[in-house]
Amino acid sequence: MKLNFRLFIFIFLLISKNIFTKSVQEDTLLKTSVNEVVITGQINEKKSLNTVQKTIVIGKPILETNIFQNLSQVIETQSGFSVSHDNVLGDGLKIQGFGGQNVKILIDGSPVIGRLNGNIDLSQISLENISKIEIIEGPSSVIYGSDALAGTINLISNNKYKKLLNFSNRNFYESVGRYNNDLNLVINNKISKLNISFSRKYFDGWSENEKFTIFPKSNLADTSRNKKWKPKESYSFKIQESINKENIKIKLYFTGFNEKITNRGFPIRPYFENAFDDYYYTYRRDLGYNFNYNLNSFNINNLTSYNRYKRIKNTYYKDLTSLEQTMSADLSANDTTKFSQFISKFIFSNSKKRKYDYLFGIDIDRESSYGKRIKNSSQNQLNLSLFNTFEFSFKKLLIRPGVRLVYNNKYKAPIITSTHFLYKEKNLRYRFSLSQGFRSPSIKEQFFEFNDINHDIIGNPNLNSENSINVQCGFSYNNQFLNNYYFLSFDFFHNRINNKIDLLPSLDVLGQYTYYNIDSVRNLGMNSKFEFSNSKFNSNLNISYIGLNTYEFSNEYNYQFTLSNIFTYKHNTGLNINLFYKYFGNKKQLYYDSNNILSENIISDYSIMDLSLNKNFMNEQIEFSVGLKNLMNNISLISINNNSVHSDNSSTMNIGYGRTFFAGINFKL
Amino acid sequence: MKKYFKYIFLLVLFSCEKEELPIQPHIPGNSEVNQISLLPDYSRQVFYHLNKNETVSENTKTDWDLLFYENNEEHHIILNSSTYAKSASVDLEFDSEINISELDFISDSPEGINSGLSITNIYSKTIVVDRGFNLNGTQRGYKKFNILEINNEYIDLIIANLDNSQYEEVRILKELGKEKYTYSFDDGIVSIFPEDMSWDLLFTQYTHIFNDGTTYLLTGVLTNYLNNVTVSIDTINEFSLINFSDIDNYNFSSNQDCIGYGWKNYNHSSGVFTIIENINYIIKDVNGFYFKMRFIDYYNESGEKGYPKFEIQKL
Repeated sequence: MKLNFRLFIFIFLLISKNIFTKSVQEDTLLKTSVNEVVITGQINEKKSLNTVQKTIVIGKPILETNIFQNLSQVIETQSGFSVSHDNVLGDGLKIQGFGGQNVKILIDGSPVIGRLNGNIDLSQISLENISKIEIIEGPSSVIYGSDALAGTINLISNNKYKKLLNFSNRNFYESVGRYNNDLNLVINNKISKLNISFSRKYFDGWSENEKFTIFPKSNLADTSRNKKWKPKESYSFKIQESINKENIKIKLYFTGFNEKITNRGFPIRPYFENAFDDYYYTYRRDLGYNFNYNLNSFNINNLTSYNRYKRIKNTYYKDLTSLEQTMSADLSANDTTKFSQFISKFIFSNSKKRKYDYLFGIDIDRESSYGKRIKNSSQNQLNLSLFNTFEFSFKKLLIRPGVRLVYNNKYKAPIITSTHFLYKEKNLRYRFSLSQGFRSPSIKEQFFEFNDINHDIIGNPNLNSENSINVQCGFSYNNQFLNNYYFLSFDFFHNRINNKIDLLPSLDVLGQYTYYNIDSVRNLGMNSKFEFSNSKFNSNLNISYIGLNTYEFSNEYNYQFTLSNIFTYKHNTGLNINLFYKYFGNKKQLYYDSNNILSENIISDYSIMDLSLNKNFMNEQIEFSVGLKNLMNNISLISINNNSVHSDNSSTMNIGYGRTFFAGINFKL
Repeated sequence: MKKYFKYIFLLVLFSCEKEELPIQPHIPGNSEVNQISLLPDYSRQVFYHLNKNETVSENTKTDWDLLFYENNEEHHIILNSSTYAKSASVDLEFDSEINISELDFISDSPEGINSGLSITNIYSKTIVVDRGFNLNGTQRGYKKFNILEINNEYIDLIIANLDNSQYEEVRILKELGKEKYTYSFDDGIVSIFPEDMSWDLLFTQYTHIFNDGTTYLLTGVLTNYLNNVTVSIDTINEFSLINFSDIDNYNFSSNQDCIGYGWKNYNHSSGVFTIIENINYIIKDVNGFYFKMRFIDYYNESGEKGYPKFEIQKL
């Protein structure tokens, strides 16, 4: 198998160098993701094809299919990525097998905060007015600091408007009971651009055996009130003013997000006349500016933002015969968690391409956390960082070393380095990189205090940061043949996260749990991408084979194969047909069960498929789309626990709500 | 029409959360009367199911001696307090000579296993059981036993008379999901207790411990407290006025003898039992349903005692 694979690579290299001799005129390649311009992690913007660190771009061809409504859904199109669904904590990301706490998520370079159990709820990140998503796989802590161990995701807002007054309205309905609407207004002139947007998303919840109705209707407060997928309603608002005058660019913004999740409890036996209902409220408020000054070949950029996040959980005891409810007196049933983060990042760099490019940055980052489960009710953490990176060109070779020095007021922060190499030869790109990443222990991990009848958890202020080392190498090939564009890449990587922070039984107090730096996680794998595009057809095939090792004592990697493909086809009539398919292979996990016995858990393979059709009318003023989601009718997945001591058993994981129909109509004026 | 079509379509794409509709409160059950037959010599034990308002099982109280309660890693040995049985643990080898007069025999707490059992260490070298009284009031004698092993599959013990005669080795095999195993020194393994979720109340004699430590055999009602039957006593409200909506105002007790014997009085001069008026019991059954109950008589139609009669209504 290994020999065959090597042979294949060898033959491919031979063919690519000798047969496809025609070089590509890059400006003719419009629809492909690798020709998208990338800014994430770059000194100056570059096409994805030419970045020294491998960068994935999810661009308009995918975002405009109308299949995907939030970051969670679109990120799952990538083969090395998976999303776990929790009905209360939301959608958590896994990148190359690593958890969401090791992934940095940015919107226009500003970090998204509000991690619950380490994860940011990806379903809360909407895609309206997003022009593309840039993803760096592997560490980018030199530029982006903490959390950027396994990957960095940067959502880039749309800022290209031609007319003075631009209005758009998007409306989406999915038969599972999802109703999304958004409005976007842009007043645009040569100097200033004012952007106001508003969106509402509503999901009325879903359970198996639920009867289909176009509109939700009032139902009896009986046993059907408890939904497997909880009802959710969110509102978001954004106002942004951009000023672009000569060599100064200023962008000021304010965004707000409110979400309410309603968990109507199952009626209490035997009378079924009372229930405990939970309500989860999330509030996000982000205020910031981005200042850019360009003087000759010198560029100064300052990104400053103040982000606040609040999550409230309230539990009510409800009388289902009168619908009166009273707040539960149980202290653990009600909770408020608050985070805030102030960041100010100054970047000094050259703006014109030279033999070597430089970037020098200062990062000030102050995080605060408040809540009754935080020691002394509030704690903060200050990070001061200096970072720089250079990009040297030696003919066909590009080398980019980088370093970040961090001071943290709560723990001894590491020095982070990275080195990336890119060798370009006509249509071929060879990449190699060796980089480090880190994650600061969160305030929760350091200062958590939760004691009640069921819990005794305490933070550990002596934690060190998690740190990672990543090795990546790969090559890509692109060419154009008879107006067909081809891109092929293979990448191999190994990533190791040390000092992993885990919640474990305390060594000092019996029955207490606390956080320790104890373990390491490693992965080893490959990603391959094949993109084919012409004026009518685009196919983006991703394959990955990634092994994960979660225990220090074992050298066994548990591998999973995934394959994903997005086809888009543009018919002469203007009708676009989009098909998304993804296959997840069997997945094996090792874990310690409640009896502290090492157990094995196998999640069976499955695949997902979505189809959409969209067409523009009236000079692209109206776009209409229809489609089917979850064509494979996935609802839950069986996870089999193989245990050598106890008898075999299995559990189910919720992965979907069956086959659905969706329709959308968008207006653009 | 075409012009407005898109706006109609927009309406389809917008919706919001709908309020629930209240469900109808359940209808309380009818008031019913039942009478339990313990017989005038109180020789019977009667297991009773509230929701069905029927007797599930009955036995003669001397049919058993030991109850082994096996709940996961929890092992208890409960005495048959209806015969006035008591036990004493002896730190002597099983075949040693035992002087009864030196032993301190103790009863199980009538409140249940959490309030103290006579056998605190089931693995004591020797446990001597005073078997209490026969139906005719004569002494049932003594037996001793020693637990050899308890595991997931069986209970192994040895039993003998105090003089080591009638020595026998006993193995009680466990059954999946079964928690109670009863043993009779006369008849071996016997089946006395019905399935856990099939009964709520046990009408029986039992040994009561008064505040001064004296013990006495009384007739009354014990609950299936190991399967979550709980009781509250209301002496203030009229029986007919107690409703389901009052449930939150009651404090429920999980003591086995919460109903106990206290609903009747014995007049020593007249030798007659009388029911104390306005003692109402609010009972939560094994399935979580609530009932109200009050005793109305202790005699049968022939005027014989030992026939508790009560009114019961599902709330």
